[in-house]
Amino acid sequence: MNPTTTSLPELSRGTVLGFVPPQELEKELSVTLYERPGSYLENAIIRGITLISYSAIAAVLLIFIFIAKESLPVLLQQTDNSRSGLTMKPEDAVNKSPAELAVFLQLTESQVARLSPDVLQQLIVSRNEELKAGNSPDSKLNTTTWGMMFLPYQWEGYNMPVFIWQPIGNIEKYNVIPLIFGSLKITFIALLFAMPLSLMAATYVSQLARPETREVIKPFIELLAGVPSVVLGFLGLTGLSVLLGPLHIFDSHYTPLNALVAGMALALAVIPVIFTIAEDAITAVPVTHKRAALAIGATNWHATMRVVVPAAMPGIFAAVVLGFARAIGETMVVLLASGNAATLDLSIFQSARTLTATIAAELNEAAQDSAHYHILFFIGTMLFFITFLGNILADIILQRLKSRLEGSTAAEAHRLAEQAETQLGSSVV
Amino acid sequence: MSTPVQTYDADSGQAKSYTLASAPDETARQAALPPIIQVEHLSLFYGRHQALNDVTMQIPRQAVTAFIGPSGCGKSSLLRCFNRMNDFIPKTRVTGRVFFQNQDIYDQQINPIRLRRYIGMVFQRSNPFPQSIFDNVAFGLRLHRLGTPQEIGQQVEICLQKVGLWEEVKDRLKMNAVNLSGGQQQRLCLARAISINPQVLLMDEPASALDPVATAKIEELILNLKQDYTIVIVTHNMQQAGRVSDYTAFFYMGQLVEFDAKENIFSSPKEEATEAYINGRFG
Amino acid sequence: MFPIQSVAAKAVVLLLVTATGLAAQDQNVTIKGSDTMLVMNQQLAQEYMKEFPGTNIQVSGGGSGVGIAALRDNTTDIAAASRLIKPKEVQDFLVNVGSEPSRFSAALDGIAIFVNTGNPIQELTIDQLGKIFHGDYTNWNQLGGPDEEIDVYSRENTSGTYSYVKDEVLKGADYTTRAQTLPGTAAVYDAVSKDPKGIGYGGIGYNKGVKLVSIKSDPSSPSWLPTEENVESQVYPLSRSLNYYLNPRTTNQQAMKFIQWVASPAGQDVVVKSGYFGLPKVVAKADEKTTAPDSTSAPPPPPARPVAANPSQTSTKPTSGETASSPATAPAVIAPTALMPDPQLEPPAPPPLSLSEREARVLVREEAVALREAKVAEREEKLEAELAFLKTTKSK
Ligand SMILES: Nc1ncnc2c1ncn2[C@@H]1O[C@H](COP(=O)(O)OP(=O)(O)O)[C@@H](O)[C@H]1O
Ligand SMILES: [Mg+2]
Repeated sequence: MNPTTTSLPELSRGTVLGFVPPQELEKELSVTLYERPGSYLENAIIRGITLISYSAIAAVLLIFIFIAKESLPVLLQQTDNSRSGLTMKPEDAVNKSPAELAVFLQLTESQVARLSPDVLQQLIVSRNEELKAGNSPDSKLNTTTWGMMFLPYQWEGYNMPVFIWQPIGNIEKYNVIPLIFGSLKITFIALLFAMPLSLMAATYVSQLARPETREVIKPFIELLAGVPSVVLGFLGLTGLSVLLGPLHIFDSHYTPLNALVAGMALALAVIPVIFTIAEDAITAVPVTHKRAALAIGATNWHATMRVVVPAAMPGIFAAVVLGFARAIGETMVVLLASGNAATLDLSIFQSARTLTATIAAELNEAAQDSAHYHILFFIGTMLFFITFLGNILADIILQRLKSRLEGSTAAEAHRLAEQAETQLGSSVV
Repeated sequence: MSTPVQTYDADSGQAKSYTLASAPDETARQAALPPIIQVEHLSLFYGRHQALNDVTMQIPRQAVTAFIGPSGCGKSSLLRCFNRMNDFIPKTRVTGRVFFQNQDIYDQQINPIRLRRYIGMVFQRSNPFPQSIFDNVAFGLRLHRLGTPQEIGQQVEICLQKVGLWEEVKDRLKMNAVNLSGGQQQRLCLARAISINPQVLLMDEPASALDPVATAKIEELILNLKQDYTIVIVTHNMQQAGRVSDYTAFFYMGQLVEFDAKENIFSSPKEEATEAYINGRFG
Repeated sequence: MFPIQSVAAKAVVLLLVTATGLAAQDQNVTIKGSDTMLVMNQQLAQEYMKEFPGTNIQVSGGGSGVGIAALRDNTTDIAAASRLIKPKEVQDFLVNVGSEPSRFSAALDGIAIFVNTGNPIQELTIDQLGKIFHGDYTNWNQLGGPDEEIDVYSRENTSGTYSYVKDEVLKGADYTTRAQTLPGTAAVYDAVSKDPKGIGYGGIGYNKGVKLVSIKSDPSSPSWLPTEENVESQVYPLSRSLNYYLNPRTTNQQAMKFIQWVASPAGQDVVVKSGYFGLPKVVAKADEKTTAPDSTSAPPPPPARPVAANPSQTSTKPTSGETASSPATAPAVIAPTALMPDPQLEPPAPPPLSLSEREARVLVREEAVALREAKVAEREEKLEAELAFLKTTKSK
C-alpha cells in the first residue's frame, strides 16, 4: 500500500513477547482489530447475566400483575355488594334467562349453564337468604366504590360521617383511610426511633470507635437483622406493652397495645437495615477527606461530623429510604403489637391498624372472588405503589443530593479536579 | 531536510497538514519514517460542549511527541481519542478520522478492545491493581495469553528493569503494589503498560503528581523507551516538554495551534499564541 | 393461657397446614378449620385413635373459613367451624360441588364476657354490652363502675367469635374503632387480666385470670353466668355450637364414624375435658323417643339421621322475635343434614342437632326445648324432601 512502510528499521528488544515487527504490524492489525470482542464463553456468560438481571424486572412486574389482576374488579369498579332486597322465587328459575340468573347469583353465564335445576333452586334460596339479611338502608349501598373506600360516610347509627374499616358483618365497610393512616403513623414512629439510633451507631462504629470495639458492636447490630419479626412482635406484645404501661398517665385513652409499642418493636427491625447501609456509606468516604480535616486541626468528632458524614449523605439517605420500605412492609411485628384498631387518632398512645396487618389477618378468611378478597388485593396494590412512589421520590432527592455534593455536572467536576491537579503539579515542578 | 510526511500523506495533505521540513538533523531519522497515527479533521463533543475542533496532525514513529497547552484545551481528550478511551464517557461524539497504522480506528467494524492491546496508556495518577507487584506486571501478558509462565517471569523482570524498578523490588515481588511509593507506583504502571510490547504509549501527565526526583526518573525512562516505542505525552510543564520531546504540539481552546519539532516550537514559534504561552504570558 | 400458646398454636397450625396433603385412605381422616376448636379436636383425635387403633386422624387449624374452603376443594374430610356456614360459602359449594356439606354439632361453647378482677361490675344486659362494644359507653361510671375509660378488646375480624358477638351483641352494628383486636382468644383473656379498664369476650374454654360478667337478655330478666349448666340448658344468652361439616363427596366411612363418636358419651367426655361444654342432654333425652321417619316418603333403608329428635307436632311456636323469621324461608342458613346411610356402622349415638345461635337465645329451659322440637319438626320435613330428592337423583 505504501512503499515507505518497507524501509522500517529493526528495533532492539529484550524479549519478543507480544512484539509485532513493524513490517508485519499492518497485516496483523487488519486481522486482529476486526475480531469480535471477547470469547464465546465470555459473551455467553454476559448474555446470561444480562438475562438474569432483566428477570428481576420481570419478577417485579409479574408480582405486580398478579396483585393488580386480583384487585382489578376494584380498580375498574366492577364490584358491587349492594343488596336490593329483591328476591327471586326458586320456582321461577326455569323461566329466567341464564343472563338474568347470572346477574342475580353473581356468577358468570357459563357457570350458570352448568348447573342442574335442583342446584339452581338451592342457589336461589341461599342467595335470597343473603339478600334479605339485615334491613338497614345501608345494605342498598355498594360499599366498594372509590367514595366509600376513601371518603367519610355517615352510616346508619352514626351522627356524623366517619371512616370505618369493618369488612365483616351485614354491611361491609371498606374505608381504607384508617389503614393508610395507621401504616404511616407506625412507620413514622418506627423511623423516629430507628433513624437517630442507627445513624449514630453507624457513625460511631465507622469513625469513632476503636477497631476492637467496632469488631464487637457491628456483628451484634447486624445480628438484630436475623431476629425473626414474629419474635420482635412478640416482644412488643408481652414485653414493651408492659414496660410502657406507666405512660398511660399521658393519655386517658391509653391502650396497652398502641402505635408507640408497635413503632418501637418495628424500630428494632428497621435499625439493622439502616445501620448496615449507612455504615457502609460512611466507611466508603475516602480517608483522605478525613485526613484533610484532621490536618487543619479538627478533632476526630469535627472531622467526622463536618466532613465525613456530609460526604456520605446520599448513602445515608438511601439507607433511610430502605428503612422506610422495610417499616411500611413489615407485617408480623405490627400484627402482634399494634392492637390493630382501625382508628384515625393522632395519639401515639393509641392503637393503629396497618395495611399489611390487615391483609395478613383477613386474607385467610376472605372468600375467593368476594369484594373483601379483591379489596385486600387492592390494598396490596396500594402498598406496592406507596413503596414505588417512595423509591422514585427518594431517587430524585438522591440525585439532587449527589449533584450538590459532587458538582452539578460531571464536566464541572472534571474541570475542578483538573484545576486542582494543575496547581498541585506546577507547585511541585 | 526532506518532507516525507507529505509524500506519505498524499491523499489527505490538506488544510492543517504540518510538514516537518525544518526538522533538525537529529530528528531526521524519525521524520523519515511514516507516521504511526494520523488524525484527520477530528472534532470531539462532550454532550454539547466541543472539546476538540477540527484537529489534523500526524504522530511520528519512534519519537516522543508532547502535547502542551493551558488546562482544559483538549490535550487529554485528544490523547484518549487515540485508544478510544472516550468511548467510556457518556454522550461523547466524535467526527473526523484517526488512522493507526493505516487502520481507521473509528471504523464501525473496529474492535476497540483489540486496539488497546497495541496502544497502551499511563494515567496521571498511578493506578496499580491492589495485587502483588509481579501480578501487576504479568496481568497483561496473562490476559493476552502471551508466553509460558517462565517467559512471563522473564518478561516481568525485563520490564521492571526497563523502568528501573527491579533493583528496588526484586526481593518483594509478592508485596501488594499499593504499598509502593507514588513514584514507584507510577513506574510500575509504566512497566505494566510496556509488558505486552505495545506500538504506542500514551501518557497523560505521568509525572504531575510526583516529586522532582521521581519526575526526573520518569523523564529519563521516557527517553530510554523511545528507542522501542512511539510515545505521546501530555504535559502542562514546559520544561518537561523541552526535556523529553522530539516534537511538540501546542493546543489552545480545542484547536491545534502549532505542531513542529521541539526546537522550532521553543526557539522560533510561528504563532503568536504559542510564543505567549511558552514565555508564560498566559495559561 | 398466655399468648405464646396461641402463637405456638399458630405455628403448629402452619406446619400442619403445609404438612397435610390430600385426604388419605380410608383409615385416615383429616379435620381442618377453626382455631377455637383446634385443641379440642386434637384431644378428640387422640382419644379416638386410642379407642380404635389403626385409624389416623389428622387435625389442623387455620380458621373456620379455611376449613370450609378446604372442604370445597376436597382436601379435607371434615371442616371444623365455630360458626355456621355463610350463604356465600353455601353458594360456592352449590356451584362447585353441586351439594351442601352437612353440619353436625360437636360441642357447645359459651362466649364469656369478662372484665379485670378489680372491676366491680357484676352483670350487664345485652343492650349495655352492645353499647360498650359500639363505643356509646366509653366510661365505666356510665355503668355504675369507677370513673375510668373502657378499653374494649376484640378478636380479629376473621374470627368466628367476632362475627358471633357482632351479630348477637351488637345486633349487626359496628365495633367501636377503638376496639383493640388481638391474635387469639388467649391473648384477649391475658390482656384483660392485666388491664383494669378492659373488657373482652371469648370462648369459655380459655377462661383464666379474669372476672366473668353475668349476662341478661333484658333488664327485667335474670342474669346468667356461662357455667356448664347454663350453657347446656341454653339459658346463657351467648352460647353457640361448635360444628363439623362433612365433605359431601367423601366416601370415607371413618369420617362419619368419628363424628358420631364425638357425639357419644365417650366423645362428649373429651369435649368437656378440653374446656368446652357437651351437647344438651335434654336433646339426647328427646333422642331416645325417636321413632323411624315417615316411611311413605323415605327410602327403605332409613338413614342414620343426624336430626335426632322426633318431636311431637304440638310444639309451641317460637316466642322470641328473633326466631320468628328463620324457618321455612331460611333453609340455607342451617345446612340440611342429609346423611348417607351407613350400613356397616352402628352409630353409638346419632349426633344431635343443636340450635342455631340466634334461636338459642331463649330465656328458660322449657322454652328452649319447645322451640327445639318445633325446629326439629321442620327439619324433619326438609329431610324427607331431601331424601326424596336423593332418591330421584340416584335413580337417574
Ligand atoms: N468527561 C467529560 N465530560 C464532559 N466534559 C469534559 C470531560 N472531559 C473533559 N471535558 C471538557 O473538555 C474540555 C477539554 O478537556 P481535557 O481534554 O481534559 O483538557 P486538558 O487539556 O486539560 O487535558 C474541558 O473543557 C473539559 O471540561
Ligand atoms: Mg488533562
